[in-house]
Amino acid sequence: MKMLYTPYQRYKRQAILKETGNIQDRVGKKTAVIVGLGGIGCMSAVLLARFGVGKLVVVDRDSVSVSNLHRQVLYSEKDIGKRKAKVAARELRRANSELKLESLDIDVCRSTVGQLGRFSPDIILDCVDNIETRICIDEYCTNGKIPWVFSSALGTKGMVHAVIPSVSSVREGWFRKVFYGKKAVINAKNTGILNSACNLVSCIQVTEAIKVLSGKRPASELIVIDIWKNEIRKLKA
Amino acid sequence: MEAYIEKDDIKKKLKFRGTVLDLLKRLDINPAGVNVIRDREMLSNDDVLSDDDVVSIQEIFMGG
Repeated sequence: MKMLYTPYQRYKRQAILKETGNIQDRVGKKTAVIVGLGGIGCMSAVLLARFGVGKLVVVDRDSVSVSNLHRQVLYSEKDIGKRKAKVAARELRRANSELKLESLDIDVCRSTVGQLGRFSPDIILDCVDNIETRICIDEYCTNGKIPWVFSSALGTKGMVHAVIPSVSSVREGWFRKVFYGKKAVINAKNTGILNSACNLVSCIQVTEAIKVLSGKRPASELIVIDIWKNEIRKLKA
Repeated sequence: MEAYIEKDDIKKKLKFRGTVLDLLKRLDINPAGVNVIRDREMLSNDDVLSDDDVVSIQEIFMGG
């Protein structure tokens, strides 16, 4: 396919940012895997695709349902019943035709998480909706020394934390210390979720991921937001 | 000790010294469903609390 725009034209508004420096070439060689294409995962995929990550792998086990549409920005009414991974890949290609993109329609669990290895991910974005899958991602990333960015949202609240296994054993053990043996009683079905809350979580998650991919330091704390109260807090992790 | 229970939006003052797990048992809260935060730090069930502590008990949410 003929390139419509030069990379300079496409990315010049972010390449001149003094906060990041020109990290485009560096991030443009990296591979990010997004596990879970719900409210957080959709927007995280959009932002990373548009940022110009080198390769994006989108993973989900589910189909689009009508109750997804208020917050999951990659899907439209015509997509109801279709597989999320496939629809997401189609929409992301429309946003950035130069993006290397793969989709994987699997349920990530202990027996399948190893399939992510064939993409040699530089980072994994956890956008799933349950503790069990997060534990699989944590174990997989800890063993493989792969950075991952935890995220979670519900109601008007959200949490984000970048875990860097190769840098600090303290942060490596953070998720295990806080969440192993826990069970989320509240969920989107019984509590609801504000679309702006999960999309704000995506924005923070992708910012942390870009820091990691560009070799900069992500926040060492757990970032906790409540968009309804306009609150952002940082907890020790 | 002062314990803020976010779900019910109430603060409880009590004499307490022991682990996080002991506190949750005393407050009749299922430890699997909450995180306990003290001084901007999420605690594990075996962390020890003193009578001077102020803690916040928050429901775990894992939506994506």
